[in-house]
Amino acid sequence: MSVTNAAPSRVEREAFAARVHARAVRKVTRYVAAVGLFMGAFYWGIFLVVTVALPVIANMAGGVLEGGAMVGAEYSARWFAFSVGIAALAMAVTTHLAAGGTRRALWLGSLRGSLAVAVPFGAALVVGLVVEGALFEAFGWTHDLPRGSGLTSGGGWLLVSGLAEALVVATYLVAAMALGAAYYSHGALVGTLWIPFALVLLLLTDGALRTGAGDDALTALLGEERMPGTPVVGFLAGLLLLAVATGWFWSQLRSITLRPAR
Amino acid sequence: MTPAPFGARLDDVVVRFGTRRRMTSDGTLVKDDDATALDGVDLQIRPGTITGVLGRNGAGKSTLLSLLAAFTRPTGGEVRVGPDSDGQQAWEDPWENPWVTSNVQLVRESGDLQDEEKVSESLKYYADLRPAWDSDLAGRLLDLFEVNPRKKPAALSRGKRSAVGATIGLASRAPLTIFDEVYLGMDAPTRYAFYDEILADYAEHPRTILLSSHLVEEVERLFEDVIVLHRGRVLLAETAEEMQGRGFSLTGPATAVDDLVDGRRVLHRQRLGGTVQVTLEGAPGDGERESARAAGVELGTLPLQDLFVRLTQVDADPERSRR
Repeated sequence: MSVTNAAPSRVEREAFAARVHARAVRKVTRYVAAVGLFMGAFYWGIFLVVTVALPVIANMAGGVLEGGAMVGAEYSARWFAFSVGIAALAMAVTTHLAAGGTRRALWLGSLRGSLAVAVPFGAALVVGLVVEGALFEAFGWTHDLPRGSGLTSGGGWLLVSGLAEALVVATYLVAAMALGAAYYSHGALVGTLWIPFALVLLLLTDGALRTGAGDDALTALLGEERMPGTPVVGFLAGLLLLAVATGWFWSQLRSITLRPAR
Repeated sequence: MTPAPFGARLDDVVVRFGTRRRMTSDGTLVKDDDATALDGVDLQIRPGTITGVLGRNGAGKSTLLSLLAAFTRPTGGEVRVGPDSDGQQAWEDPWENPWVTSNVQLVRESGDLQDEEKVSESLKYYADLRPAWDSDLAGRLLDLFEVNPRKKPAALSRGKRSAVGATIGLASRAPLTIFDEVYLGMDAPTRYAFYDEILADYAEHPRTILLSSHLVEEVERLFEDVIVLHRGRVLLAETAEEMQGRGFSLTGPATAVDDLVDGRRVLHRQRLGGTVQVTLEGAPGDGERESARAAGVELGTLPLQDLFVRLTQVDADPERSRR
């Protein structure tokens, strides 16, 4: 590393700033992805073991299952991701800013890291559904409980379910970070006031992608014929809601200050 | 590329905090009252110096230092940070400015470590973000301070956590390195080792160092410039040399010393048996030097701590200041 006492030119300064910004974004991306994937590996590892073990044990006992463990995974994986999102931001924010990173780098890195976590979550769901389906077929059982995304029941059902799960998990992760940033930035009172907004956002996300408890609630409220009925509309609505979560996250993160330590 | 040492300028800076409730890491709800931390601060920090930032508790030291590292933003006024450029100050607002923030390292007493990770993971984070990070130096300092980087911060004593903070500050090699009371919890040998490391590294890698401390007597030998804050305002900002010219001490037999005081303002007085030491305001004249020598009274420099105590207690106890 060369050392110079001369002040750099504007061009050098901007190049330097761009380099350190890119490094900071990469660092946060890796950090959020590592935390999410590490925790997610435990979660999905346990669920996949149960997904296999449950029907096998039931079959050995001479029983018949109406639905497997993946139903539970669909409902809970997003909330697990939500808690991971809160933890990941809380663990990174102080050290990141103290190490000279900007809020913008933290935001961008967190978004990229969330996507890096969300895609494997979607893939894990697909693997679980395939494995569970194969076991049910092998044992001659029919699956009576709804599984995967309700956006389609056709040939692309697995792919749509996996993509929908990835989009849902990404939105939950980003919303969790936004809520964590709200608590960090504004304190307990104002942070709590943001919870209803987060819940509505996540409810709409579930409903747009036709999965999870939010979809069940909206279906019970509005009926089965409500929008969206096609994958294209559902994914566009899901992307729009992810964009809202992303904007909300930035609005909370951009003004975060580290108060004097006490 | 490691830029030249950074300086800083604050123009009419005001920082106010509103009331809020926040959750601490151990789950306790804490109420922060509203307060004006800085109130119209005008200040310039010279690049390439070690500057002491002194003030009583709540004087606004930590807030001032947080502004320079973009940990927080001023409510009013302007903050500029950067290196000198051919005599011109190419200084910029540090807020969300990666050019500035990556070159300014503020180490706070809390250490700003990842509580759930090993110390080595936090250091890795700093190493990845700090352009001039020196891993060899970090390793050597951890050995010197006897810190095990495989432990989590919660498993370290307060002094060891402070030592990690000292390590981060020195190993960052940031053109503006700020230590905000990082000595807390350190035992005396560790503190002195830390001061020696600051001087050695400063000599080898010139930069601007700001040091906030209540242990004035211990650290004053390091200072080239001194800033004294009081109740959110700058009481004094000048070179250590100028500061020392503000007074002097006399040590000797009580009667001889009392004769020499001769109506001058006494900043501090202490007595041990028949020997008295007084700290006086102003510079000694040639006649006073001769008289002191003749009376067997030793003439010394102004202890910074005495001046600091005097400056920051004037309005708290006006009667005493007139005595």
